[in-house]
Amino acid sequence: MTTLMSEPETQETSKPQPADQTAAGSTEDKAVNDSETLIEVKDNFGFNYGSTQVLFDLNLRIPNRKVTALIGPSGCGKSTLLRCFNRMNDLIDGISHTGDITIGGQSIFDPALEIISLRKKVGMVFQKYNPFPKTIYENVVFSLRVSGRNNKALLDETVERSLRRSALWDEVKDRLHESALGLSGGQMQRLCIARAIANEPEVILMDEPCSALDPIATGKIEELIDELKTDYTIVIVTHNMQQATRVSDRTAFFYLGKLIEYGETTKLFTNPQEKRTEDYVSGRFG
Amino acid sequence: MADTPSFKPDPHRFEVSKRVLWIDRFMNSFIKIGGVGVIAAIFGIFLFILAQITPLFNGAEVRPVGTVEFAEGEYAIFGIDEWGELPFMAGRDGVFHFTDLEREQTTDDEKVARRYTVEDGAVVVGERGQFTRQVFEDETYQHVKYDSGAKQAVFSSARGTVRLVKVNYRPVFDESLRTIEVELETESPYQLGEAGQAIVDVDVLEAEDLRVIAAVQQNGEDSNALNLLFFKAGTGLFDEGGLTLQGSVDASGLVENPVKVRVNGAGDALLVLDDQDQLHYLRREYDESVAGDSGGGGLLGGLGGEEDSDEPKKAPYKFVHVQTIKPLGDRPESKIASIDWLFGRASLVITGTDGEQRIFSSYSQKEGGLTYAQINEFPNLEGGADRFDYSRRNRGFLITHGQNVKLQYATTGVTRWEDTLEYIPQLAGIGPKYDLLMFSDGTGKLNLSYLDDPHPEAGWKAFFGKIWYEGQPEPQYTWQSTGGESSFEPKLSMMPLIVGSLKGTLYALMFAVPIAILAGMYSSQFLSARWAKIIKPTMEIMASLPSVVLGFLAALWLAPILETRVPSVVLIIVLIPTVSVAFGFIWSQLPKNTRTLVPEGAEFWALIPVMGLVTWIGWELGPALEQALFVVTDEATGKQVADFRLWWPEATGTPFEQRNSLVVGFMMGFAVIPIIFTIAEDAMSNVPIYLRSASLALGASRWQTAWRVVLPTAAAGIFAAVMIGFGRAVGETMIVVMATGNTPIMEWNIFSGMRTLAANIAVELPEAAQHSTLYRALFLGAMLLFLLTFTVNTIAEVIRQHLRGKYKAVSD
Ligand SMILES: Nc1ncnc2c1ncn2[C@@H]1O[C@H](COP(=O)(O)OP(=O)(O)OP(=O)(O)O)[C@@H](O)[C@H]1O
Ligand SMILES: [Mg+2]
Repeated sequence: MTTLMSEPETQETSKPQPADQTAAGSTEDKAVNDSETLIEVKDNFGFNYGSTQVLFDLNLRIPNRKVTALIGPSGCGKSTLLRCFNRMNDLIDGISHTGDITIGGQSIFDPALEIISLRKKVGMVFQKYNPFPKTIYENVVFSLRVSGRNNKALLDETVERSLRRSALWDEVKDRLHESALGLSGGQMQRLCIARAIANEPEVILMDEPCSALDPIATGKIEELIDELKTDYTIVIVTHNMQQATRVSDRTAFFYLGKLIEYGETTKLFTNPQEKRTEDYVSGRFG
Repeated sequence: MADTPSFKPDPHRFEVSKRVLWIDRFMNSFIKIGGVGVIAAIFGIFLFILAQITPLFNGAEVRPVGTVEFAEGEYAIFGIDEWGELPFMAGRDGVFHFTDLEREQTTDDEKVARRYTVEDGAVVVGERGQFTRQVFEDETYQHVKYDSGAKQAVFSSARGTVRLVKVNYRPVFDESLRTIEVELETESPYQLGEAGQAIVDVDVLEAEDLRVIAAVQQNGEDSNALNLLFFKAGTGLFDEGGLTLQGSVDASGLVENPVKVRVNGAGDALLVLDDQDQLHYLRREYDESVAGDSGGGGLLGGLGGEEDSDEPKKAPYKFVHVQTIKPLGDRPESKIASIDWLFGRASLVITGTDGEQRIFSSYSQKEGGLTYAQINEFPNLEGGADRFDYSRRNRGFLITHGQNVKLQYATTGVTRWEDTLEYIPQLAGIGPKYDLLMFSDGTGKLNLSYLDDPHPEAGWKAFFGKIWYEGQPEPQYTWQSTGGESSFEPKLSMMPLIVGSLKGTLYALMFAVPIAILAGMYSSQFLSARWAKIIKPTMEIMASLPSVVLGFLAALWLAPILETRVPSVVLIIVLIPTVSVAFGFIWSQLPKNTRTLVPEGAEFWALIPVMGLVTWIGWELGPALEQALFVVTDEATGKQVADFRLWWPEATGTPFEQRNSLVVGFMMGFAVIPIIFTIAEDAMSNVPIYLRSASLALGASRWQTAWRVVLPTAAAGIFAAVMIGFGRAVGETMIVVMATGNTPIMEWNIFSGMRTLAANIAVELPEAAQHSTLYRALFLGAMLLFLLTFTVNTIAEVIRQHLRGKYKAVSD
């Protein structure tokens, strides 16, 4: 019942956004204009795992150098969408999609595109911190090494810059050559962020980066995200409404594989246009 | 009440039923007993094997039995029958004193200790008591010696005559009761040289079809003479296999002042000691000038010779001087005290007056002909040997100096037993079965001791050291457990077998490890889950292929094919990796659009036809390569032939065999690949997906992910896989038995075979009588195999734990 009812509305909220600014203006939300857009999900993007479709008719623009939060109840397809951006879903057998996603105007599904270079452009931080069983140093420089850049000075410089950027430098500078597995959970997650930014990607995808961390570590990561958005476009999946309001500029609410509402975070949380958004953000379901 | 179907909890719901408890207790103890039982069984097997091999490292045990009192007299020789029942002592007068000893009629394998009845230190004399036999009268002899091997007493006189007296012992069975009959057999004395030339030293070779009497004789003022008499198996009608006199040979003049002479086991070599302590090796050759009138006579000549004994015939032989040896050349102070043959008459024990004991033995040289060389040396005695006897079972010998007696083992250089007697033994001997030691003070007291030394040829040196066996040109590690002649000496070095085991394993692993690990990596990292699900069980089925089938294939199919196609194999081994890399490179250069036509992980299918083509090309080009590179000149025809089989021995000096390590490597590799594959695959599949994702998300290619993340993380598991493969290959038996020649050689040449510890047990099992040295040596092989795998597994486990700690994945 709800699904049927929601369908036309979804299209109403999401479709006009890219089309024209004035249509969205009625909700006092500034849509993302062409020049701001870095990632664009378009042509009613849909995604299937085998025969099960999990994403339906998505159209949205993610602005450059902003933090965009993807929220929604469990199983609604946030991670799936996120993993489309760096094509990590390719590891799974039998996937298919409709529509298109572009990053910086270039389709990521272009057969001529090297997936490896896409992934170098779009970094990712996972829900569960996953440092390699190597030294802290080797973790950070991994992306450089696989690109064949082994210049010692460059690597040293990268390690320091990335670790400083991820606010980890002071904590680990004396143990760079010890195993990364000796770090605390929060430190490991920041190491993963350092690792992701070592190669200077354009986009950082974060899938519930704080869900395995305690509040203090979470706070540190949130501060970090705030810092990083000056240089990177960040897309973050979170279940934590407070976190979404704290860190994101824009928020997209998904429900059952559909984009229900997408707009500036403050707007979406204080004045949601959709009943389900309101229910969700106010904790009535989800 | 009844109308409300209210739910009432079962009041017994917190109770545990007796049955559950009982079963739980039973299963607990059952599993405990089972577990402990298994450990105990394994430990028990270990202890059993240990118990089987410890006797190999024990020395001899000698226990005095008692004294046999002979009539008072001057005795010069003594001897005993094989059953140890009828010892004799004799003097130069030709009177043989026998004493019947009471023995329990025991079956063979009963313990030695219960054989004689002893009362008050004296061996009880049996029913027949003591009796004497006299073989000649009115003859005087200066010397007598007794060859315990030929059971022949040799009397030699100042007249230059030699009388041989054979002591023929014969068991007679009377209703399962065994008595030993003795009969003394003698021929009329033989005159050597000219009458009146006193015999200084004599040696008699008594073989089945040959007898040689060699004597050094005084020749007045001149240098001593050296005369020989040859006897050969009768060819005449009436001889019935007996020995007939062939004729004499005068070998005087070849050696100046000979003092001692020894005839070797084949009767074709004399070792003559001169008064300068030099040993001369004289080789017997056919003398045509003599052959003309005597050898050609045949039947008539033989018969004629017997009639007409005044005119001594000449045997058609002459001697040539081959070698001069100075056995004590480095000890100018010491003089040679004795020279005696060991069993088989191939090795001499030479002692010096300062107590040196050196073993000299002959071996054939590459250029042909024999050479004598020192093969071993024992620590010095107090002085030269007084008495000597050799074992008729092995290379052991008994040597005395003063009151000291030693039982030595020539080949290993080990003193099996030593003691200081209360008297100076005038006579010393080893029982015919190497089960008795006999000493006498020469006046009529014969002291018997049991000798319990079942494995004299064994020991650390024999199993793990280099030993210079007689007949060999240098000290070697040799395994050769059985041989043709009765005097054969078992050679039981474990080293060729250990090397063989390692060699086979190494070649198998060299082939299997890269393939299995790469296959495991492919299946776990590149192949789609659907295919991996099919391939893994298929590989596991391959592991269950009986190794006898693989061995059979290796021996009858692969070996003959590979034999002629080695250049092809070399070519393929080089081409496949090269082409793979080239293929990968070309593939990566293709435009992305073309590549995406092939789904990820399936590009390897495109490689398969390429591989097939390369294999075929390599196979077909092999002969061309052979023509180009492996050309040798055929010695027989002088033609240039292109044949790797001939080229390899020429180029490397190592042999080329059809059933070689390459074949074993391939086939055993096939046996090992599935095991390594399965475990390595598991290890790599178990690398957490989040590590792979992290790597891929950072822009690493699948290969980089596999190489930099998966491989190190799975290193412990992969290492374990290789070690389990090692264990499998080391213990593998059937393939090696069938696919190699099982020659226990010690070299790493890929084109020769090997004999592994495991194969050795299988091959030698039928030969190994229970509790024999070979039997125990096979257990030693088993123990080594066990220790080998145990050590490797322990090292592997330590490394594995270390790796696991190092590459431990993130854990909560
Ligand atoms: N590998 C897969 N194969 C098949 N279906 C999948 C796979 N991964 C996810 N799905 C399905 O796709 C849908 C969306 O999953 P997704 O992980 O994107 O949800 P999510 O919004 O991230 O949920 P959560 O908040 O719990 O992480 C779910 O119904 C899930 O069962
Ligand atoms: Mg998710």
